[in-house]
Amino acid sequence: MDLVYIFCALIFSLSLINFFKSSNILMMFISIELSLNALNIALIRTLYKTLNYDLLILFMITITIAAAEVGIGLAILITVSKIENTVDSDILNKIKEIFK
Amino acid sequence: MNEIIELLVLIILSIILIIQILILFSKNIITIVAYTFLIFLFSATIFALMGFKFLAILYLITYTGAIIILFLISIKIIQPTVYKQKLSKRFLPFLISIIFSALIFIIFKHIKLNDIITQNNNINYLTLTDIIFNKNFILVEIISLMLIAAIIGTVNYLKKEN
Amino acid sequence: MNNEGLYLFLIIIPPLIGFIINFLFSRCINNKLSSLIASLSVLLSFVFSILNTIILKKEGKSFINQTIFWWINQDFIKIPIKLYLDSLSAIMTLIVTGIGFLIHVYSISYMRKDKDFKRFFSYLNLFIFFMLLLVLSDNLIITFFGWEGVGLCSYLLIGFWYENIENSKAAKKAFIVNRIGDAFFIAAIVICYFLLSSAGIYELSYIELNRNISYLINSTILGIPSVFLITFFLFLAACGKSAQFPLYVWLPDAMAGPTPVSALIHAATMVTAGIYLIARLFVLYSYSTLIMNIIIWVSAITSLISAIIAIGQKDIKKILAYSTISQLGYMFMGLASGNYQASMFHLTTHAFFKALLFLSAGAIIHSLGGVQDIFKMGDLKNNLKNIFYITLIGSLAIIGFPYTSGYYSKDLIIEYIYLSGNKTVWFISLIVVFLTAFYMTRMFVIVFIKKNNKHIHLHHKPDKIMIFPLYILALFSLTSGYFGKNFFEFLETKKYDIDLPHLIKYAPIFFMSFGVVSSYLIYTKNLNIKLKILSNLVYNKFYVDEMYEKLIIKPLTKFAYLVFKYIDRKLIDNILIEGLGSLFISISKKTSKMENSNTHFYVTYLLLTLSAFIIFIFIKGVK
Repeated sequence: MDLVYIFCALIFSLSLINFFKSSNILMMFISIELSLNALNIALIRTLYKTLNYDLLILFMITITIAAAEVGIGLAILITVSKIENTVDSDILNKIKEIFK
Repeated sequence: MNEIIELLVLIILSIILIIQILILFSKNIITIVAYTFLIFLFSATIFALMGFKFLAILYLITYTGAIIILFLISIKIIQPTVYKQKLSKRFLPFLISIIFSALIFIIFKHIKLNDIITQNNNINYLTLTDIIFNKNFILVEIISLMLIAAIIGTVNYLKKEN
Repeated sequence: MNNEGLYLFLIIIPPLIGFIINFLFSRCINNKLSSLIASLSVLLSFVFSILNTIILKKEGKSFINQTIFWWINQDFIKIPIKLYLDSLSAIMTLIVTGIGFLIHVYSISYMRKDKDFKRFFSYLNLFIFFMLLLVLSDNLIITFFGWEGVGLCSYLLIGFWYENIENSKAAKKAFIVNRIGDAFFIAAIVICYFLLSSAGIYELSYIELNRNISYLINSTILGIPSVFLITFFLFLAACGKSAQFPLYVWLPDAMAGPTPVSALIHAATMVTAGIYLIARLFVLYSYSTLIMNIIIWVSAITSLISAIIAIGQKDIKKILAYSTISQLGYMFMGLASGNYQASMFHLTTHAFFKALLFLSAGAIIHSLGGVQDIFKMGDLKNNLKNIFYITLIGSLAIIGFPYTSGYYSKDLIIEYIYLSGNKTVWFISLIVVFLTAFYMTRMFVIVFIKKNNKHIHLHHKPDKIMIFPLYILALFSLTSGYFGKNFFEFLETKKYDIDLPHLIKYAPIFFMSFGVVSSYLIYTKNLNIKLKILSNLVYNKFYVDEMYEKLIIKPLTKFAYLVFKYIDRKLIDNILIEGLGSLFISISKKTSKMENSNTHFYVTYLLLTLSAFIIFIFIKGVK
């Protein structure tokens, strides 16, 4: 029983709720980053406790994924917002259905 | 000494939790980004407290130095009128996320780790290089390739659209 | 096993080559060449069978055989394509090739104006090939192969003029009725294999069957002696092929084919395959008295009924067809009275005179331009003189006029029936003699002697090619009876002469002459002795076809319709095929709503899946 993990779980679920709360794609990205952050804290906590340095690589993978995802995602977001003039996922869906 | 660190970690974690709740209720996206920056900062502090100073610096560099800046720039590029916050009215996702968190909670409760808490967790940098460049070299290479690919992809994408 | 006959394959090869040339390369050859190839191949085969028979007899062996190749050679079953020639198969081979050749020659003239000339000859050659395979085969399975092959050729040739729907129907009927018998053949083969393989013998050859007969005798299947089952099933198969009582209905309809076909397949050779089969396995049959009783009664009834029906028929070919059934009944009676040699003798003579009768009937039909009704003929005595004499010879032979071939062979069978002790059947056989004389005289009188008021127009007279085979057949029909003793010596038996009281010995002649005289009187003097109901009954063939229609075909059709409606349409089509399809369509329509490009939904399902995994792992227990 480690309180740190429980905090991590709470942070993770809060970021999930944040994700679902908004229909803004930018907000979703931020929520994903936050949930990955919670994951990272849990990872480092485990590393701290067990000194299994392989977890370090996992940690680095997480960081890389977060960075790459944000990079590509934001690029797409920018182009979409330039065309459709919105970043709301619901509105974008509706527009897509019109184009069908 | 250890107890103090544990206490500090818990305090910082609770601060992060409070900031998360604040994010949940704030409406201005710039504020949210600022809060996010704070969260990353505090996380890095936790790492540093646990003894992984190198990781803390790495974390700061990637998140606060790259990602937050990226977010800010995107917000700058996208018209400010576009990103008005709007509350979603779906309940199933909320429910599921809560259930999921509860599951994670249960799992964390049941995980038993062989605690090897040492007095000094300062990583020897030679050990670190050994881990990164000897033991897991290929994996790290793949990670870096992935990152490069992401950067190239982003640049290429934006270039094409323009 | 040093009985290798290296030249046996030469018998069956020429008809096959003839078939291949006529069937596959029909465009490269003209009609004349085609008929030449077909006839010569059968002649060649005839010559080779004579030579092989001479080899067989000269070397004094009981049989010679030749393995052409192994079809299946496994531990659990061994089927060689193996030819086997002994006296019995030698006789059959000689009949098939000899009469086959004469009929080939006859067909050249008969089918001259047909547009499918080459196809006809290719089928005839194929038939000869399959018949030889049936006759010469060493084991039951290859016999069955030949059996099916001749059935196929029979089907093809009955429906040769397929433009007429009646012909196609007759072909179909023949094929289906034959298949009923074939099913029993398969059952018999399976039982044989089952019993012999349990004894460690994996061959189905006749030699092995005869050698290991004790296994078959001592075993029972479901409480029934297996020897009875095998013989009974084979008898049913023979019933199908040789047109005996329950399954004889196809043969009269089979007359829809060209007349040479009727002569070759449906009188002389193919229909005797059943008798050959039983004669081949006669050792097996002699172990069961019950099956002998069944055969003798069934064949007696068949023979009687078909002879009665023949009296009422109008179509010349149908009269001959019913007469064939009746004569086949004689052969089965001869088998069942315990003497297969006598019935083989009758088979031979019958092949001559029945082929002769059919061919001369064909000549009449041909020269009258397709008329088959005997009441539209009449007074042909002066117009077709040679045909008149030839038919006279054939008729005398079939009714058993003294010193013709039929007299010897038929009387021999009747004597054996008397010797076997079954007096009722003996009396039936005498009545059949009377009836045979009656309907043959009736046919002969109406066709040749009686004056017809209508003018009969002769299209063309039969030419030399058509008459030549008839002369040969007539010669044999007259004289082949004298060689009965040699025939029995050939078959290595000495049972030819029987001492019987004179009254019994000459009873057939009395019945025959009575039949001839009464028939002659009735039909020349126009004595109208007509029993309306009986004649109606006879003309409609005792309503056997109608009975089949009502009892078997209609319920089957109804059943088939029900199966079609409820199982095929409702169960398979509607529920299984379309139902499954629509089920998947509806499921996919529902699931495609998940694909709504809504990120929240995607993440929801992701989380659901992850939760399911976590729960699963948690229940299994984390280690």
